[in-house]
Amino acid sequence: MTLFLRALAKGLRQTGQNPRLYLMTAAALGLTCFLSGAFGLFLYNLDRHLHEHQGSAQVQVYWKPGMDMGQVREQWRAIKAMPGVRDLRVFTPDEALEGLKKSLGQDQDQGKESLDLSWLGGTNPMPATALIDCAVPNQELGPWTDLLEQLKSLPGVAKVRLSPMQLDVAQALRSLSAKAFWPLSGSLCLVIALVAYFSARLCLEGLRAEVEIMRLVGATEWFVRLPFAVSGAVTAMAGAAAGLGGLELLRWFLAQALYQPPLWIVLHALPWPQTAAMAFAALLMAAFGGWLAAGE
Amino acid sequence: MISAYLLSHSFGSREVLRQVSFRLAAGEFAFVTGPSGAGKTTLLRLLHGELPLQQGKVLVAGHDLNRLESGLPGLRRDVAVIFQDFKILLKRTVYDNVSLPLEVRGLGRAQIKRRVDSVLGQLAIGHLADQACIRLAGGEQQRVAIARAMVGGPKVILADEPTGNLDWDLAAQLMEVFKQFHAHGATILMATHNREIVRSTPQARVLRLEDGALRGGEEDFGDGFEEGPGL
Repeated sequence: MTLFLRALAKGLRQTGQNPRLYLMTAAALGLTCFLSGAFGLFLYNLDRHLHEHQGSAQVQVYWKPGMDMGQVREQWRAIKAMPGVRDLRVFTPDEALEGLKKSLGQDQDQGKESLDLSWLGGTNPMPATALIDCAVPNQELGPWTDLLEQLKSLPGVAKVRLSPMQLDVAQALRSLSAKAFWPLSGSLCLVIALVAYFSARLCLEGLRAEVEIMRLVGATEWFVRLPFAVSGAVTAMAGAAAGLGGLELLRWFLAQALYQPPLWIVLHALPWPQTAAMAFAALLMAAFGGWLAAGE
Repeated sequence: MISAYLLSHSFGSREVLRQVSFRLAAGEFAFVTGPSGAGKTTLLRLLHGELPLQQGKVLVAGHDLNRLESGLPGLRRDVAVIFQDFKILLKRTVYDNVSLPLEVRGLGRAQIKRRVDSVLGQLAIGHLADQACIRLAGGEQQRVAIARAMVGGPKVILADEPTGNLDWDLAAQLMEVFKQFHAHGATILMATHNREIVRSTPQARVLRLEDGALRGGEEDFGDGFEEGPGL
């Protein structure tokens, strides 16, 4: 146990004894984490944008005219709670008629007469309407068709409409996003892992004499290797923390700049599992690289 | 302490050692001499486990080099080696370098300090303990290498041209240090091509290597020769 702790301490001390060597390695790793993270950030925000703005379809639901609005409002509440429903905009018959008047009487703003609907004689032929924004599943359409069936089966519903093309486009985009995002994220982690591994190995080239002398004086294999694995891990941790910290700082500044008129772009931070995966890949592979290189 | 029997070694098609057999008793001092390329360094590297055995049988300080496998650290703790180019960590202090063999054995800090101080004192470099080795003169650096070899109390000391980079005065001083350690019971095998060094140590045996073969000082293994030297 004493030897183990001593080897660990030696690894930490080693980093301080060769600051320039380890600083350069940490800088290389930090830059890799920063660039990979920046690309990952772009991918993540693109993916979110696709999901939020393109990965959904609108379903229009029309009730029969003259339905009891109390019952319809109850159904609206039920619809809002249905799985897959992201947003719900509803129109009572009066609101629908008002909307129709506004859209047909386009010169109202110029102070001219609005559309004359006096011939209706006070009756409102418009139905209650709901515009539902639904998430489109990228592969399985089962939940989607279930939702449509549920909407159609609601009492008093006259018609449920959706654009098949919109559904196809949304589904294609979600599928593309799902297929591209994870492999690209994996590739980024792989890039970080490889750079970490080779950086740790290259760093050890400068300490080759130390490895040789340790063996010369009778150090056991693990006592030779462990300090290099530890110093590799510490360097990677420092590099990854600096790189990803710098990235978060950049994101914060960019987010401030982009969330301004007329852009109003929201720049989300990378989720912590992806960030942790990048840091962990760097740490693990640098430790592994140090361990292997010291064994040669 | 060292028994080598029909030891041969080649680098590719070039045979560097040819059926070398000798014995070195505990507490004995011996030189391996011969011209450059005679195989002196290869012999020491084989005895230290730095090169794998190709042919022959070797027993060093109780370690059978033919069956070494994972026992190399054990051999290296019993057999210390000193090189012509010192092989010390130049950016580290004298203390750090000398304490290394004791650290890898897991000795306590106080014990390490006591032993390092003692050996530095014997080599008259105690005042340099906190100095970085890069600031030391060649003779002082070689003393650091010797101190590192001695501090663990090895059974055998192998020295490969330890005075090769030093002038005669410094070389003579270092030889005195080796003689002191020998007087305290250390078994020493030193490779050198310096005749003056050999002449200054009349108590030492001389193993003369020429073209990879022993030409003088080899052990007569007698009737048991075929069985090997006690292996």
